[in-house]
Amino acid sequence: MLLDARKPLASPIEEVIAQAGQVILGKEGQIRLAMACILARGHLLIEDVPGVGKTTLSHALARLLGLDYQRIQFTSDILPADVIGVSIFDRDSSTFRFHPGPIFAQIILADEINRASPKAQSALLEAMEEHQVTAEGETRPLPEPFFVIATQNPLHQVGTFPLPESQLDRFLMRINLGYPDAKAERALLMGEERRDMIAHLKPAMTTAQLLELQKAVPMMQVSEALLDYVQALINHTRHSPRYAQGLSPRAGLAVLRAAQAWAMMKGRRQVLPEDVQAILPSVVSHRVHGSADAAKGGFEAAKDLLGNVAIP
Amino acid sequence: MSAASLPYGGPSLDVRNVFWLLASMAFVVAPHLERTPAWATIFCATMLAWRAWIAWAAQRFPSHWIIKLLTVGVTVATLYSYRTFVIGRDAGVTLLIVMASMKLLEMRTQREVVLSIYLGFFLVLTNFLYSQSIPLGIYLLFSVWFFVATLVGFHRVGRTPTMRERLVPAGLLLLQALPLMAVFFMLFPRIQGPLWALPQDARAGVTGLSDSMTPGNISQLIQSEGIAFRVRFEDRIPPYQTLYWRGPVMWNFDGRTWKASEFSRAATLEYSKAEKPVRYAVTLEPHGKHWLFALDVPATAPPGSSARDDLQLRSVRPVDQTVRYELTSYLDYQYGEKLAGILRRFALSLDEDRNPRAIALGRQWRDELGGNATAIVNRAFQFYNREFTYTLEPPMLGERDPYDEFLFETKRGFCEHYAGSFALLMRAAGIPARVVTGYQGGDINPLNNELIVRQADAHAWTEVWIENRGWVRTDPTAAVSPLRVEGGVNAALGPIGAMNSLIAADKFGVLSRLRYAWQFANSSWEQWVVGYNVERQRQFLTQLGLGLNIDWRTMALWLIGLTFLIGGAISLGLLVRDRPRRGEPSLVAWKRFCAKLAAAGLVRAPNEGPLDYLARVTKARPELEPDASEITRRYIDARYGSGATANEIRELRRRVRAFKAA
Repeated sequence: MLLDARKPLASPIEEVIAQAGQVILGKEGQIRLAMACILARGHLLIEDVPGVGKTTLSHALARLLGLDYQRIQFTSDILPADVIGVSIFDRDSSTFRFHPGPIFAQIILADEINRASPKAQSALLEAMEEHQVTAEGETRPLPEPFFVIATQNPLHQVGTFPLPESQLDRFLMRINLGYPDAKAERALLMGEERRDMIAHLKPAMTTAQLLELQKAVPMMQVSEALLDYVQALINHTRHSPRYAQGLSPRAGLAVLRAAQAWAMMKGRRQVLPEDVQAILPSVVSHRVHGSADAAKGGFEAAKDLLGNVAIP
Repeated sequence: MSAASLPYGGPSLDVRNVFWLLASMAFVVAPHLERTPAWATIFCATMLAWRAWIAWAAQRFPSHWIIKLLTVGVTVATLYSYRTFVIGRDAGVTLLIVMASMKLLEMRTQREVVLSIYLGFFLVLTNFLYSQSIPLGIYLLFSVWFFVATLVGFHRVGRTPTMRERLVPAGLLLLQALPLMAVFFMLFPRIQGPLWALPQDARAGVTGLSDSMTPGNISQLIQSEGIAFRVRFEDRIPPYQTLYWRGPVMWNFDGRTWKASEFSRAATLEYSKAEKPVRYAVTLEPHGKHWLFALDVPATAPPGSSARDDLQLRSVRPVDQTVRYELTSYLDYQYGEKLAGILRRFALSLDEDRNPRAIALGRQWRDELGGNATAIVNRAFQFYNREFTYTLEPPMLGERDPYDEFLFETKRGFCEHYAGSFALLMRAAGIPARVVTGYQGGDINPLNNELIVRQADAHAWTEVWIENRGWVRTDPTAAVSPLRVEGGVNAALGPIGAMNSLIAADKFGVLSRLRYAWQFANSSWEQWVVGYNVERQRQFLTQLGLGLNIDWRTMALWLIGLTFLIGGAISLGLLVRDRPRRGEPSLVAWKRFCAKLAAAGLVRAPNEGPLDYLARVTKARPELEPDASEITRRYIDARYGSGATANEIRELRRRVRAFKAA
């Protein structure tokens, strides 16, 4: 069909998505968004109840992309050193030697990030932003690619430190996994152990390929007309009384990057308004706050935003 | 599947849109509720509720048999309630309301929605058959706004709009219509007199003087805050005690009731002495009777009316809408020195059997004073001055000899008691006398220096005929309570009615100033909006410099010209606002492509991207796929890709031009 001639760039991505889809059933949309997030070099926040497949998703992605994987379980007493690593005195060489923490991996699942104290949270978030950690006066780069999937329990659970808005802004996207539908759930109940399936997954692309794709994302064509549209969306959140707070310039950049990644996954060179519309709810839902009806949540506010702004 | 065949309300019409329509309907019908019979109110509410339920719970519409049955039912009920059909105003309006509410039960498609909304606009108009006041005007303006907002909602593509998204565009639409409305109002050729007569029942319930006077009926009128008429004097307002506004003159007396006579005849107004002229214009509220009020004594009868020999001015048509007339009156006058024998007899006639003591007293004065009229009047005034009390709450008087009771027992009364008994005493004393009713005084609005005469200023006085002096006004009330004549009823009796009590209690005068401001607004509204007739139009157009003798053809030409001018200006403004930005020829071509598809029923939502739109179009019309996808591809390349060369743009344009969707 249309634009088919320009597809080769996308084919390994499609392979990753197809394989991941066999492990996590009925969640293709979320897998695509997660993939777009990786391609745009952003980080992903999954807000959901335990047991819907957050670990499975992150683990499967790591396997399929051929990346090493670490899981950090956040608890209320976790310390920054537990995340970053710690220097220990080595008696043999009489020096301190740095033992890297779990953060030195390519895909990290930061589980239940809102149960950690703000201090530990910020250690992780700084690493995410800078792609490097500073411990004991020495700056150490993190491996590339570096992708954090943080999970957060819904905030009404007891004993949590909700992430402040400024920290939320560091996640490119926020998605919900949600329960599988009946058909997917049945397949899940009848199928083999997910853990075994993940163990058997073969990488669908090399790290070099992934890095190349990541580099290609900002090259996707963004026309004036598309920038007009993105700006119209941002302006609307800043001027409409529906929103307590408008989108930041960083949010605008995030929308653009994610849309570029999405266009790439669609096998197109040009970014279209449709790409913006596809990623916008996940990108802005944790950054806008509806003033009128807080309980309605960011996703609804983001959908309203799409409904209210015409494509220039 | 066409929408018309849908059995349920849910899928075809949006619930919120339907609710908007129902609410607008209820809003516009609300002022009618006090007038329509109870069954119609209940019926209308039931229909609205039923339609709301159909929309809310996606219920089935009633079958056409039920509707036919209901139609027959309400027609019969209307017939029964009014004993007439659509002839009367009330019957017609009631029938319209119940039918409009029933029409809602047939409202399944967009077309029927539009019909219902037009019916709603018609219902807006019917309210003006009952009142043309400012508050109602504002209320109905809001109704129109709500209906337009409903219309906006039904025509919106995609999501159901929010309240703001309805009201703001509707308001803008109305604002755009405003200049046209003003031009039509000012220039549309007016017709002399009403186009059709208001039906008889329009006049029910107006207050005002009646053509007979019984002790007690004016004091009832005095409780009314209603405005009788407004007067604008050309120069200064004459002294308060000269402000006698003459209304019906009563000659006939049966011992209890004074009645306007049928003896008065058309006459030319001639005075043996006529000085101190004052010029003024009266704006008379409708009262349903024939007489016009004039300051004693009028120089001429205004157009459309005639003068009687007792100086009454009678309009040819009953005053059933606000009329405005200009007059000159002479404050210093003398007339009627010659009294024809038959009139003299009428002016002296009385029923000897009733009120015998009063008649005896009159005869006694005549005998004592030797028939000297002036002396008798003075004696009577002294009599009243000594023992009588002016009060709004006089004791009840008997049926047979009410004036005997009043004069010799209760001695407490209101102007009609004094005027009636005085005229009776005079007739008994051999002096021809008659009772004049009308208004006395008024209230000056400092904002526009207008005199407002209310029902509360209603008054009755007498005229006696004296040899060589003619008919002379004698006001016995002035003898009892000079304040009444110098300062009005409120001055004489203290505040009457809730409003006056409030105003009297308000030390800073805020209330009275507010009331004056309101009356000022009302008076301007009456004069320039409701009363904008041929005269006013001519006057206004002359002020505009359009020439004195502008005829309706010139007016029509102006009207047409201005309509085009305003329509053109608004269209131009919209065109300029919506013009595509320069330098984006691909967008121009794309919009044209979208417009062609929109004409074929496939409207692109404002937030629909090109690929999504293409997918929707090809799904609905697979045969368009090759052309449409080629155009879309070229458009995407040009607008979202690396740009397009002039040749590529030309090609895109060519393809759009060749594209046919219809």
